[in-house]
Amino acid sequence: MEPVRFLGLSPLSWVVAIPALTTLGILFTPSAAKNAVRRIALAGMTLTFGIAIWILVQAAGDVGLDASARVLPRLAQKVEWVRELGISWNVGADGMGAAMVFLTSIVIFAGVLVSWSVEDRTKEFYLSLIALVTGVFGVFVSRDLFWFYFSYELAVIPMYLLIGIWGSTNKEYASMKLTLYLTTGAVCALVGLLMVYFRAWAFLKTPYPSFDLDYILMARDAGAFDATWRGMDFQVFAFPFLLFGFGAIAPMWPLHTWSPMGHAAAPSAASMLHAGVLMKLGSFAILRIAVPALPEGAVWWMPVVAVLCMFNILYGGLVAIAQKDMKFIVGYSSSSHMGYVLLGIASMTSLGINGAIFLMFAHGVMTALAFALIGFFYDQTHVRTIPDLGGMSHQIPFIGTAFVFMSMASAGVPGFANFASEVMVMFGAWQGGLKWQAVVAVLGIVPTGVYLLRAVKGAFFGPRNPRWDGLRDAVTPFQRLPFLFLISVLLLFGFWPRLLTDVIGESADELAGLLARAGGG
Amino acid sequence: MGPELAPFAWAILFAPLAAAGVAGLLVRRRRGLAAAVAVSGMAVGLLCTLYLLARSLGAGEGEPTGFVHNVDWIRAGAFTARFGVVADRLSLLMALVVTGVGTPIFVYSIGYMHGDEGYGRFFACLSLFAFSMLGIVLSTNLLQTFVFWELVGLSSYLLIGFWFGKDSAVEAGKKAFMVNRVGDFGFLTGIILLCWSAASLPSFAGRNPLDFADLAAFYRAGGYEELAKASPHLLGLPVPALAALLVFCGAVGKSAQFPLHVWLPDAMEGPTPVSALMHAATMVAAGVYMICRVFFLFEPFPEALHAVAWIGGLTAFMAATIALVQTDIKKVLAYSTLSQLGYMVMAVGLAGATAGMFHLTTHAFFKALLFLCSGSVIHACHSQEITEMGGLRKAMPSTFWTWIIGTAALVAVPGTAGFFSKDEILAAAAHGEHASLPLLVVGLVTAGLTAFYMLRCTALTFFGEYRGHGHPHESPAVMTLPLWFLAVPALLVGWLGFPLLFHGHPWFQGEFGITGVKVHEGPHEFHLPLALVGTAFAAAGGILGWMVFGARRIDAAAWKERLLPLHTLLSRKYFLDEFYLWLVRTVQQGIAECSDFFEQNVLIRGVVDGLSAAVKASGRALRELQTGSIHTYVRFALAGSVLVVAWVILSAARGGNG
Repeated sequence: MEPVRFLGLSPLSWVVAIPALTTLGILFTPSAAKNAVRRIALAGMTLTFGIAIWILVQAAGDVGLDASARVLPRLAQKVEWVRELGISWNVGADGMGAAMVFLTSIVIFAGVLVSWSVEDRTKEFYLSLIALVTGVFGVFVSRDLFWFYFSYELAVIPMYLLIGIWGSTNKEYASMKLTLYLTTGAVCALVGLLMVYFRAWAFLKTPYPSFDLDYILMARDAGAFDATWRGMDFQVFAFPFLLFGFGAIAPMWPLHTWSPMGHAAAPSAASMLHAGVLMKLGSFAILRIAVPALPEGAVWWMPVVAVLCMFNILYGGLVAIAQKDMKFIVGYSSSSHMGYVLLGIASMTSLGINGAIFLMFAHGVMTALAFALIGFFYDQTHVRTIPDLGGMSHQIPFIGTAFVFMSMASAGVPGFANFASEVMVMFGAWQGGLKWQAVVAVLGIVPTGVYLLRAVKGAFFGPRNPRWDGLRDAVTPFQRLPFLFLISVLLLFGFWPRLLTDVIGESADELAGLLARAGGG
Repeated sequence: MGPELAPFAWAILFAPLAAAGVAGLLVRRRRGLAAAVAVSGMAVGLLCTLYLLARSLGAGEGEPTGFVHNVDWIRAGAFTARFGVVADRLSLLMALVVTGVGTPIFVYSIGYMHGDEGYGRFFACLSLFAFSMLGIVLSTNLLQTFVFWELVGLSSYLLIGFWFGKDSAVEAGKKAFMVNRVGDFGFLTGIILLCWSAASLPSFAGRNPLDFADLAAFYRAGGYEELAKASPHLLGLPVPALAALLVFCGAVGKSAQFPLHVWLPDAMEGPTPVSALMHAATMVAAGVYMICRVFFLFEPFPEALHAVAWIGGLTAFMAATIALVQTDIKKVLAYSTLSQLGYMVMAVGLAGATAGMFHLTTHAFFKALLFLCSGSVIHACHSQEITEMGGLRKAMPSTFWTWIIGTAALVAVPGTAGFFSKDEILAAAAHGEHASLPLLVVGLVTAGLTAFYMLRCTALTFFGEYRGHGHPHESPAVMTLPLWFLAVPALLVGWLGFPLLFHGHPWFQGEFGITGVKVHEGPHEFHLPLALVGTAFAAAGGILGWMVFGARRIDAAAWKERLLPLHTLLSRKYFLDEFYLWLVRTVQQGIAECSDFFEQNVLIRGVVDGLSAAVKASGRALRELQTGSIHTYVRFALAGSVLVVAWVILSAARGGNG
């Protein structure tokens, strides 16, 4: 099996290295050369996007092939770093990882484009943005728990700066709250990670411990986590640390309150990344680490998740109905949609998990579009509350039309990827025995429709309002590019979901099989 | 005919989508071109439909009359959702209705929308609708039907709210979308319930639980009994019957049946061609078509069929009474549509799919015609109020005569299309397998009411003196030609189903389509006495209507005074809108506000900020320990030493004792 390398690095390593190099490039560009900064960022992210597509295409090509003929395993790369602690640079990808890398590259590509108009401290802005996304990429490709955690934290800190400096609406409170929440969650998860790490070492009795995920999984298969501790199953005891630690960023009800506020305060591109990819880190980490390492713990705790996600879905939707600020509407809507992701995971079926991962992708793109659009008009109107807006489609028809597209995607109208994924979750939930949850999930389409149509009407429809006569629409192809790009992605995967579901399929099958075995045994 | 013809079926589906894409994205600003693209998309659909229908009707003995072509759309675990086209006589008949009514309406729109700012957008949305509607028609499975079901809802939302500067139009679009969503909630729940109940049966193995053909074959082999036995009753019903009723919820929403009918009259805010195509002829009939397609789900369960028939009957009667007092010409037609949809649903419940489809087909033509006539009138008078019209028969002869033809068909004048299809429904209520006297009475009374309100509307619009402003004149040929084009089938299409003429014809024998809809033998006989009774009711209603509003022998105003409470009840539509408004504004908004209050005050201010306050407070308390003053530290050290010494002594003493 010939490893795939380019200049000594696997494409997966490049996915992290290029954003890291881009930040370096920006760092050494003079602050005054704003356009140079923007171009460096765009070039770097375009390149990353290209690699991400290449990886996804390889993943799609691998479907149904023998292990020996596959390309994806050849992308794995492991370089030892600190042997005594068992830390190594270790990247690898499966279908799920490929999909998430693809998502991130889409969102940051669009994010760089919509941030073109940022004039205040442009260099620092792009620096934080690309640093953040470096961390996100790191999480999605990492197979080493240390780097996983490191990248996770790396993604959180620039968000603090982005909100605190370039934000709006109560930005100090929001940035502080977000950072505290996420680091607390991360610390909680770290406790769980260390428990697993030491337990594995103690059991396998190797000379050195290892953060390698494969080492942990090997320990699991050897029975390292089957012990009981003070009458409690180790897995049942350790799992909630990971679940709620990562769940805080997912965001699982009732740990969600940082998120709408953070969305609202963040500048457009930061909101896009925040809701588009940062929130996905939580559910991704649960699927990548918590469930594979502790499947029996997962089986024990998933019924709890299945209850909590109901609150996400219905309660989140209802709170969204009561909101007036557009960003809060989308914020609570995100929390509601992430409930579907959690439900898909809690269903423990291949269909549900596949739907959950697909929905992470679909929601990421959709919500990035939402915040890009809101940011576009908010930069000009400086208000976002519904009674003040209204009738803007007369002045900015392109943004209005794009907003209708976004709302329809979010409302789960077929043709967009969100529908296909949410339906998969609903079917999966029922299949997994969560019948009432499935009914609630279907019911959730009603409040979703209510708040989205209200937002569309409140912002864009209605009589012409002379107050908005000065608004400028997105007219040049360059201005329209990010919006058209995101809409096209949603439509492409909505019309032909198999482009992604087939790729994700094996990851989902594997997780569902693992959970089924853990539940049986 | 076999799957080698699949490209034609796919073309029916995708020609309008391609047209929508081109008209919406590429040539939106080039008005004529956008319209031409949309019309050709529809025309391609019509031609392919005609070709396939000819092949199906011309199929020889023993040759299949339809085919199915599927591709896998989603595959995950054991779950496969497919996407395909079915071309059998049922779907092709419906496709013919959609494209056959659609093409003239597209042409008509060229004239009607002339000069509108959003001309290109209009044709793009209309084509999108055609695509969605044909998707329902050609769908091979439940999930695909749901997909297009929602897309039809989307295009309806976009077109009702087409004039987005008008608040009432936007509200109406929103209402249509949301009311349909409520129905869709039931629909999707039903699909999921049916899918997994069937999939869990070992005898179902190897079939797709979403697929119409697979499910129908399973049911025909008696699978529904197994299904009913496999799981306990839910809500007092066997699971398959419950699933059927949940699926019916979707039809209640889309076909605007009581109690989800409230969106349809408001939907008249959209441009008139939209009302004609979607909210009269095709989209609202999608519910009826869908229950015909899955009729096998209902067939074994009389309780489900009764529920369907009664919902239909109730809608038919209730809507007809409201139509009596409407003064907006489109609202009269809208309530009439509701009423006729009720008839169709009742027909399916009473007599099965063929009777429902028959009335659907005839209604599509004459109601689309009536709407286009009303559009022509509105175009001329710049008003929708029939109180501001009158005497238009002289100024607008084409519109008048086609309107008369449409009205004749609607009130079921013998020989017109509506006569035959309505007769079949009444016959089913009287003599059919599930005959029901109360529903027969409902059907007859509604027939009388229909004649009354149509004659009222005709008299006020076309007879008497003109009461409006300006000088109304006949519409251009691009609008009147489609009227005549639709008038022909409105008169004649009923003869196709006329039993004396076509009875025994191979087209109407055997099984109707891939899901094995049986053509009922019984009701196809012509019942002369019943036809006479039905005609008598209609004539009575019509004569009364003419006496009041045409000949003015009866004083309408005085009767209105006398029946004022009843009039108010009807003109306020039984206060249902008020009830729903209360539900939305008070109940739903109340729950939302409560959740928000909980979120803001309990969760955020209480728990989250409380926790942070607790952390701060403990920090402040601990800060007291670190004052930097040597006195404090000495004091603590001293106290600590005392405690340590005391502990040592005490434990030594205890140890000594032990």
